[in-house]
Amino acid sequence: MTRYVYAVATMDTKGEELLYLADCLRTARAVVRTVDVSASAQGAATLGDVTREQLLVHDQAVLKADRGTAVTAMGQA
Amino acid sequence: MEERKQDRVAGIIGLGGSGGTALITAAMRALDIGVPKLMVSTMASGNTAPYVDCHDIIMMYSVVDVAGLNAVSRKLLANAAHAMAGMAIHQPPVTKSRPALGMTMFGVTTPCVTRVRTQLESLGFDSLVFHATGTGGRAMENLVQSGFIKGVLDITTTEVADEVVGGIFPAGAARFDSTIRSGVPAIYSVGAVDMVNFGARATVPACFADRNLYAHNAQITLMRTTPEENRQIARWITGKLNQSQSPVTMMIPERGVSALDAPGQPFYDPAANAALFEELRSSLHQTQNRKLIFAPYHINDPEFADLLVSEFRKLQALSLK
Repeated sequence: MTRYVYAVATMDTKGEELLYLADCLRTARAVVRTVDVSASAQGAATLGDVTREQLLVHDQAVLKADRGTAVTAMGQA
Repeated sequence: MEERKQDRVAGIIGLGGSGGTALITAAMRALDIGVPKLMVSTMASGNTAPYVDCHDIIMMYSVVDVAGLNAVSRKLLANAAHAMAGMAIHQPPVTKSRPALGMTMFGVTTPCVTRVRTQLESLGFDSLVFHATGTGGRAMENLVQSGFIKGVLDITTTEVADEVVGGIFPAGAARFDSTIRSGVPAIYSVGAVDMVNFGARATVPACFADRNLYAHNAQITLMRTTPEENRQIARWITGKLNQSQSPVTMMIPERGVSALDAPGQPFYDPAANAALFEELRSSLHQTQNRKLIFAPYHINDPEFADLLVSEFRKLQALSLK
C-alpha cells in the first residue's frame, strides 16, 4: 500500500515554493501528494494533486479546518 | 473512517504564514502521534502553543517569508523536505513492544509515581509519565484515544483543580473522557489537588491575594484549595467517573495528597481534605465496577504506591477476561 507524504500550502500564493519542496521530497525518494488549501476565489481551483475543488466537495466548511479537512480529503483521496 | 485512512499518511509537511499555519497545523493535530509532522512557518519563532498544543509537530522557522525561491528559501525548504523524507522513509528499529501505560505526575507526587512506574516497568509495562500541566494530561488522553496507551494511572489529577478554580494548567473540559470511554483499566487518585497553579507572584489574580500562596519557584506560584473548591473538584471528577462502563477505581491517600500537604508543610489542611473525601463519598455512584477506596497513607508513602500498583493489576486482570 502506497504511503504518501502530503505537502500542504495555500498554493495560490505559495504554489511555486510548495512545488519546489515537493521536488526535493521526490528526489529524496518520498512519494508526494501536494494539497492546496487556499481560500481565494481568484486563482485556479485546480492547483495541486488534491485541489481546492476536491476539498470543497468533501467539506463545505473547508477552511474552518478544526477537525482537519485536509485529513478528510487525504482519507478520501 | 478517517483514522483507518491514516495508514496511508507517511507524513505531512506544510508551508505557511499566520493563516496557513493555523489551518495546516489543525490538520496535523487530527493525526495520530507518531505520524511525521513538519510545519515550515513564518510563525515558528514566537508563541507556538496554539499550533503545537500537545502534539509532535516540528515547527521550522522560515527565516524569509514564504514568498519566492531564493538562496535562503531554497536551502531551508530543501532541509525541511529532507527532514520529512528521512522520517517518512525510515522506520524505527524493531523492538519487542511492551504494553504502554500512562500516568500523571507533579514534583510533589514524584516519590509516589516513580515507585509506581518502576514497579510496573519491572512487570513488563512501558510506563509513560505525563507532567500534569494541562497539555500533559491531554497528551495522555490523546494516546489513550489512539489506542497506544492500554491502561491509565491518573494519580496526579491536579489539573482538575486548575480547571475548576482558574489556574494556568487546566485539564480542559474533555479531560478523563477518552480514558473512561475507552474502557482501559484506570486508577484515579487526587494527587496535588491541594494546589492551583499560577505564574510569577505578580500574575496571581487580585481576587486571590489573601489566599494561602506558596512560591514554588520564581515562575510558579501555588495556591492552597479551600474546602468549597475541593467539593467542586470532587464533583467534577465523579461527574466523569460516574460515566464509566468498565472497571475503574479511585484510590484516596487519607493522610495527604502532595508533598506540601503534610504536617508542618505550607498546604497542610485536614478540613479541606475532609471536604474532598466527603464529597467523593457522597457523589461517586459506587458499584462493583466503580470503586472508591480510602487508604490510611500519605500519597508519597511507599505503601500507597504499592496499593496503586496492586489495584491496577486487579483491574488489568479483569479487563483481560
